[in-house]
Amino acid sequence: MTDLLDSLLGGLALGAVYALVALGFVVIFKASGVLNFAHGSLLLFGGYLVAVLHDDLGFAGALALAVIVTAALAGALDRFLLQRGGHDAHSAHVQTIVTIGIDIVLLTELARRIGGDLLTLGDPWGDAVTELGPVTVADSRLAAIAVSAVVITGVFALFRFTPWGLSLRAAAEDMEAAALMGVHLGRVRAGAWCLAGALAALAAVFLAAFPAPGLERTTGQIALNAFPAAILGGLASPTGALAGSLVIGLTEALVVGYQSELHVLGDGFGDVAPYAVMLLVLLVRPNGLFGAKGAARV
Amino acid sequence: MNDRTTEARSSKARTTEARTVKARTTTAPPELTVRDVTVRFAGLTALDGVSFTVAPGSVHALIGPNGAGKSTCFNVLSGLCRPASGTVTLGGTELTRLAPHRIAALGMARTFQNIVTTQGTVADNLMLGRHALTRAGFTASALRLPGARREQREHLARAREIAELTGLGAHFDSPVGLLSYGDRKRVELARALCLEPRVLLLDEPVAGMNAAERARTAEVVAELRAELGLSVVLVEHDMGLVMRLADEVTVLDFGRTIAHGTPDEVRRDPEVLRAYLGTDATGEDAA
Amino acid sequence: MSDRIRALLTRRRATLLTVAVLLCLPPFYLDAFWLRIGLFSMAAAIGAIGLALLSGTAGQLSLGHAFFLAVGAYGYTWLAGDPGPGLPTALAVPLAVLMAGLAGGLFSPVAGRVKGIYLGIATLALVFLGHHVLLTAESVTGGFNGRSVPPLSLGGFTFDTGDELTVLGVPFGAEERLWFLGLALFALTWFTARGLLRSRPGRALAALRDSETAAAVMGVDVARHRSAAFVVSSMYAGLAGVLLALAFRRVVPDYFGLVLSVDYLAMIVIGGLGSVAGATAGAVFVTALPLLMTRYADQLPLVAAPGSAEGAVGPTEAARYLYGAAIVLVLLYAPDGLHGLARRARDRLRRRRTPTTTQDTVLPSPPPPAAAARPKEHTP
Repeated sequence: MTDLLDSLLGGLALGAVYALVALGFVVIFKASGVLNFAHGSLLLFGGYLVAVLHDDLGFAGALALAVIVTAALAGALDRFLLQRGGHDAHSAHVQTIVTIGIDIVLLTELARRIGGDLLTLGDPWGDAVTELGPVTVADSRLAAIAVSAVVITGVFALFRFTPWGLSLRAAAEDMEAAALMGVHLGRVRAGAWCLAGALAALAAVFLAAFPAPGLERTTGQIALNAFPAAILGGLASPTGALAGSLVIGLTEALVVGYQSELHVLGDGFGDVAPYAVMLLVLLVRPNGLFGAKGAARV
Repeated sequence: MNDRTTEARSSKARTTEARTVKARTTTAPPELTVRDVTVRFAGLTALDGVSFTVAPGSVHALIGPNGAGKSTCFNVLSGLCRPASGTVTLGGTELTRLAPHRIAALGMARTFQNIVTTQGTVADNLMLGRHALTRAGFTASALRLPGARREQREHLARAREIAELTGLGAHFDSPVGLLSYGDRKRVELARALCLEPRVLLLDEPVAGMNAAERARTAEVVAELRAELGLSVVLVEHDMGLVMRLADEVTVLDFGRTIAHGTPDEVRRDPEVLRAYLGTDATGEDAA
Repeated sequence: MSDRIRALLTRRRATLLTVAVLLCLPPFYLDAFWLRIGLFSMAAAIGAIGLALLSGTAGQLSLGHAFFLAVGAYGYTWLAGDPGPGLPTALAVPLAVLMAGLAGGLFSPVAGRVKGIYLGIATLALVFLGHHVLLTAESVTGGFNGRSVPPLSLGGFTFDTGDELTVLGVPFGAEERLWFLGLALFALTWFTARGLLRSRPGRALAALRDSETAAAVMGVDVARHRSAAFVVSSMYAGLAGVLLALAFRRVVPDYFGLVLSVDYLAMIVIGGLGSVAGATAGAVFVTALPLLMTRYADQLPLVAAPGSAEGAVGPTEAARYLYGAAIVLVLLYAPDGLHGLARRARDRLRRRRTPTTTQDTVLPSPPPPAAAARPKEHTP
């Protein structure tokens, strides 16, 4: 029972972090139709900034700066590289592949700088734990859940109550019409990329915090696990991304928690469980759990 | 690669003597019947109990103001949109439950209101039109088996004939992207004809064309009908063209049939006048 | 007219013959380093052509290519080896290719229904799950350390260094022999892929990419063609996997990761989407670049020799910067890739030679990638 609660809490924390990443995918996809394969390296970039800055600025200062700089980088990448392509569906495909090129360059540079090191981020939680009844939880996990909840609520409020959120939804609905209605697509897009970058930098902190050993050059790959989360939710639905992230986080934690019972599947199945879940869902619902059935539009 | 070039090139050299594939038999096309078709999109009723019958070999026009449901009706006929209720039959075959490619195989071809062509040459596009009539699969094509090559050669010759018929002969090997608007519209028509259709659905075939191009397309449609004896369902805003070509006209407004009859009858129908003059008399483009 | 055709034909035939002869020469003049580059490039080209059919022609993004390469490589090793049925190696090659095709077919419930970019993500699952299986199913795959690959023998001739063989005074080791195998398989790939692209299935796939609705209305069974494209592409990947396994002489799971899939995507993007020649050029570029940079690191400015202090820009990093940048630059400034650049250069030459441009008849030049010419799906 304690094991189960343990796994559930761990899954919730993981899901909360995935949600930060998956929301980034969804926001970018809604605004630009692009799937951002450079998201993992943006995340690593944010984490790396915190790692090198926290000695001088303190954790909070380093995090704030990292979030701002990562957001700026993401926005700049979109503005100066991707937006050259235009806004239609075909160029969105091309831009998706451009993000793969960006990822290669960014990741190579960060991996070269990080090398084989494990970087600490100087977060305030350290390896402290809290007793919650029968279970012992790492403070970093509680912080992940709490911070994600607040930030995600904030993001949803942005969607709903700001002019930018309205423009974003209009653009996702029909880019051409939105442009005719006076929506400045370039700005909406760049804003979306900035937001996604900021969320990625924030997620990096929790991915590198206890019980993880620290930030390493492969930390960015974990962002890939948020792809299944975003796909499960249907890719264009923030609510779906949230639900998908929780499903993926819980699955992963449960598989790891019950590793010995699931021995048939091999060691380390937890790492690939998100993909197994995604395949199963796609077999039944090719458009994801929350995706509208893509009616043939003629 | 070499031998294929040989064949193809020499077949070009002797188009006239090349064994071409014959058009479908010229027996009268089957009757197309639409009965009580209703289509709803998220609470909006796009078609509401629409019924009409296209007599074999006739030209049947669907007209109506913007948003009347004409394009939706075409989408139902070609299987792109499944009605909530009602039936569509071609001869004895029920179409509403068939996938688009099966309906195409039955001899129903269509053009689109906006031009939807594939990259590549006119020939490539026309050969796509012959997809349903040809058999060559992945293995035969990859290995360039003689059967597949013969089939390609024969059908290419027929596609060339159709290009000549629609006035595209000179552009047969030109990339579609380089053609004028009117020519690209004709590519769509020719591609539909390459299916050797028994029923041809034309969605605004002359929209955006100038007067000369319009006249030429109208001629082609009239010829086709005379020569091939196919049925034509026509959506068009150009009333002159409709009145000249159509045998029968069905008028839609807000998804309902409001009038039906010969062009002359429809022109005098008070309901039609009201629908056109009362709501949107300037609706000349997209439906 | 027919004279001109004949002249052109002989010229074509002559070109083909010259290229074939030239490609047979390297084993007699170049050392093993260059032969390995060539061999890996040929294997990569086979796989890239397969991916070009799927992603370039049919518009279906796949990041699962590494998985099918692995099926081919491990399939051959298992079928021909011990543990495994220990079949004759010559039989194991086609069977491994069929296995890759079968794996692609098993994925068709997803590949037939999931479109474009979405398929790219769905296929990520294949790479990760596949890698997991390669690590876990030790009895078949040898686990983390992989397996050694039995050399291919064809009618008593072994593609290995084993027995001594000297041709025209040049000792023929494994590289020299495999070169000709690679060449034959590459020629087969080239022949079949061009055949596919220029015939009924190729046109149907291109139509599907440009407008799914138009294709369906023209009688193309959308799901069936999507699945078939995926199967065909998997089979080419399987063949590439077999050749790579023979060239490496050992298969290990870590080689067949996401990075490999991305490499293949980069090849077809750099080469120019959807063209066989482009995919080949891209494959050579992506394969040869890191190997060449490693070899000549000491002569390149700004690049440290391999194994120097940590944090310095080594040749591997430099190659990856170049190649990441190449993807970005090609897509932004020359979206039709190397293939498009070559075609434009050729057109310019031809125009200078003949004032009236005569269009190639049945060999349609690959479509212009201009986004402007691409039709839009229209709305009801």
